[in-house]
Amino acid sequence: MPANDPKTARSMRTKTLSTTGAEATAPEAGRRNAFIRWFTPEIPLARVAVFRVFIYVFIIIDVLTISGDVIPHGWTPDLYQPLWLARFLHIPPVSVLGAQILLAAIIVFCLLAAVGILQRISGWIVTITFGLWMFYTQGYGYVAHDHMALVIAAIVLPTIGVARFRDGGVTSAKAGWAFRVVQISVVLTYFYSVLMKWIASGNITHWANGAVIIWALMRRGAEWSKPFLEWPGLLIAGQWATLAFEFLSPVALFVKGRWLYGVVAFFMLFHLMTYLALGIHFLPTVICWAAFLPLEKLIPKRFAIR
Amino acid sequence: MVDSDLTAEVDPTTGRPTASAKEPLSGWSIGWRLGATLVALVILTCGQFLNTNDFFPLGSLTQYATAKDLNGTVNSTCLEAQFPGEDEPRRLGFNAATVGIERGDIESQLDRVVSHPELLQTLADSYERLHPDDPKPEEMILCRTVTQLENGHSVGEPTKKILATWEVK
Repeated sequence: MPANDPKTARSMRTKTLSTTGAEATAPEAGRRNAFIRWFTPEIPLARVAVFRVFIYVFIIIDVLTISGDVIPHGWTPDLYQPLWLARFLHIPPVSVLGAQILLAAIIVFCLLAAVGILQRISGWIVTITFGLWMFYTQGYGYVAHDHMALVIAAIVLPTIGVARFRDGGVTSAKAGWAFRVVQISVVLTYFYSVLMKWIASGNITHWANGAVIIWALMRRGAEWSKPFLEWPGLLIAGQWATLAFEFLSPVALFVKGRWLYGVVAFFMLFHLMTYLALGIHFLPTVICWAAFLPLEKLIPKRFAIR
Repeated sequence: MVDSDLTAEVDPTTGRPTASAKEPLSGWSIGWRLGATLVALVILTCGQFLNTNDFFPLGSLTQYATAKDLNGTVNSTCLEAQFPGEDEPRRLGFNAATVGIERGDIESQLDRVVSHPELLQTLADSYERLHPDDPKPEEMILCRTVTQLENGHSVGEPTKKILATWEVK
């Protein structure tokens, strides 16, 4: 213990005496520093390198499958309903050729960004091209909410700068902020959906005691899940459970170790279940849960240390 | 975060923890990051209370947010096309691969399409371009199937309602 050393103990006493005038503000400053440490934690750059692979490879999969309706949207310009930012920037409806060029650019620059070539430039080009793609997939009426965290990840990742797989020993607070923002986006996707249910339904119990899952099963349920329509009580219990864990999702920002793994595994199981039952996969959010995990551990040891 | 894992990283050659190099942030760097996060949070929160998707990616999280009545109806929008030489209209897949747009997109601007049925021409054109070997539809029919619920159980067969029709040009 440092206090056993008489010199250190003397120095601590001196410090205590000399800061008496600032006693009222010291705890406040401590709390502020604790918040900044939480908000911009030092995390290994190797974690960034792995997360980038997850995100940029997933964006390629996304534009080819989940949000693959942009090229067909080139055939339906009359149905373009531009979102606020698209109107502000005067972004016109997409043409088929324009969509194909955009797709090619996203794939090329995602590959570069995932591998770590021209990291900043390729990252920012993905932010712009994928952002445009999002305006064109979401700007035709229906806005999917599962893309919020993914779009935020595409925006904040290039702010980190250069990160390599062998940077396991180098930590960065810039990276910590970017990851924290992605984590907050993931959690708010669930937490604010409870708020929205409250606002849209007027009374949250109307939502929980209502027929939302019945409605979803009837409209898009898988054949194996249709028999559950015979047990509305069970589906209502499912709605209450959904509300409960969506409300508790911010816990993920504050727990560590096994508890954190447990929370992540729980949400993965939830999404697997809704996918099997309703075809709702929520993969763009699911992939962003990776921001909660020590991904650098996936790197083989011989590449990991710098 | 599992930042504590970092200290467990040990250099195999020296046996010492390797998490020594740090890249701390300046006041300005922390400031703009804090400011940008706060602005985004305010926009996202306003998006919820204003119940608007317009601020995407920071819009409202309305997916499945509206309460449904256990004794209400379950509506689903459908699309049919009358082809030459066929007795009855044929149900089309309401998705981007068939007509260039998904059911959810049309449902989100349903009032507009119902009051401007000429927008169904766009769907007919898309169908034609996406199925160049198939006959061209003569009429597009936007419809809705309605299933009645009683205590959460469906009652009777779903009924069909025509929302809009359009003679294809």
